Amino acid sequence: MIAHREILQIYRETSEMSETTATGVRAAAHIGSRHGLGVVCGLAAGVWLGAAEAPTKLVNSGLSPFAISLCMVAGVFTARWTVPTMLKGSRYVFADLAAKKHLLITAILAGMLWAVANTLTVFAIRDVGLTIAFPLWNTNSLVGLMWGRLLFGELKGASAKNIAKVVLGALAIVAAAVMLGFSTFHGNGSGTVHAGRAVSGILAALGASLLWGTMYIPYRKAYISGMNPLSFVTAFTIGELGTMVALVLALDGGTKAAVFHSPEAKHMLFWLFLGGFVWVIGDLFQQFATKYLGIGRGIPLSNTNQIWGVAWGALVFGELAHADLAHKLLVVSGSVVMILGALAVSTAVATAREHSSTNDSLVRECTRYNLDYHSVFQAYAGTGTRGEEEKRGWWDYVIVAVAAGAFLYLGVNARVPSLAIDFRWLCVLSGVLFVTAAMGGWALWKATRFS
Amino acid sequence: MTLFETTRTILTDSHFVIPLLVFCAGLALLIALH
Repeated sequence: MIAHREILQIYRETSEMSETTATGVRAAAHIGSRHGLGVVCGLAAGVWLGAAEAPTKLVNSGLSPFAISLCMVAGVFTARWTVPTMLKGSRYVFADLAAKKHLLITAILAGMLWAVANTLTVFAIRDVGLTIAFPLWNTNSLVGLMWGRLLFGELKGASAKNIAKVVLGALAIVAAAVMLGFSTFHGNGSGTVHAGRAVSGILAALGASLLWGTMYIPYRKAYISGMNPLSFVTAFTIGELGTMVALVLALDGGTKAAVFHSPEAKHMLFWLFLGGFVWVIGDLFQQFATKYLGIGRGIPLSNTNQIWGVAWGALVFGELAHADLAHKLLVVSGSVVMILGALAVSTAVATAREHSSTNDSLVRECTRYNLDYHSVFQAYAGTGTRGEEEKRGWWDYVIVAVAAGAFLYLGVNARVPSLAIDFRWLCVLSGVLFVTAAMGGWALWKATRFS
Repeated sequence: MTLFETTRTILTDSHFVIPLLVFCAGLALLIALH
């Protein structure tokens, strides 16, 4: 609930506006009360997305990057039917998807964008190395910021102070991600530029940035149309998995691709599926952050994942054990810059005028697709009424059992590689994961019942 | 809305057309680089 003081402030500000604008502001004011929730989700997304890479470090297979991506995406798809199914039953999700059929294709398209962008990074690394490619594709949150402003009126009507906080904060997080990324690069080809392929490598990295940044358009569109993030992720994972299968078939050896025949793959699938599980939880938090903060604030906050990725690499896998002073300085300075950037973005609380332009976006969607404004607004603000369809069916438990069974089967057949792991830090960082999920999950349940 | 109207509305919506064009460009780039 919004505090009385905030409501008074909103009404004081709206008294100077036209009646139409003021109605929009009053309606959208409720959205403003979700700022703190959005920040919690954005930061939780960073923690989980940063940890998603950790299990994949246990895979030393010789499989192609396409195959590794495909296995991880298959894990994401399977994991979507575990914990998330228990948050909202499949009846609710399918009713939500059926009520907004026009968004199905958009959510699938978002998954397809992710898959092509991820594959482009493989080509970028091949042609110009990580040192050049990584900073280029990391600018995707700035592309998202641009689309947020142009297509959804984000930051429209915002104070100069807030605009500066969001833009500079996002820039700081990108810069910090690059610094942290550099701290883990070593001489093993990470900086290799192949003569004659520099242009194609740079194009691939910029392409990945553009595709990932554009992927946030469907994210935001879904939420201003009142779709639930769990429903969006369901369609998203289908687009992601379908495109990865198509890319492996088209570019990685077709049906003869090693991933379909290698006996070794069976022993490593568990780690990739585990990475997929961690990723899908992080992605769900990112979706909720995008819903409650918008692209401009939500994506930079969840892009703090780099700091957690480096923490897992350095503390659990000892990746910085032999790092020189310059690399250690990069870690410290990158972490400080990232924290400052996240602080700037998370304290840029939108004003009534900015909420008004958010409301305009909602009205646009309702008019264009003949949606009921009040139910869309309630869904957007996370205050929708709980219907019969929210109850879990018996089949939901069967779905969860089958998905969990798949993880169990792969876990039994998993081979633990001989890799030096610091179990003390593994426990600490796993604890951080669980605490973050519990806090974020509790906050979402308490405020919105995962709506 | 009828299926035709919905399809027409989607295909003239910048929120769909921009991601679709970017996807096509990305796929074309991927094929060219392969």
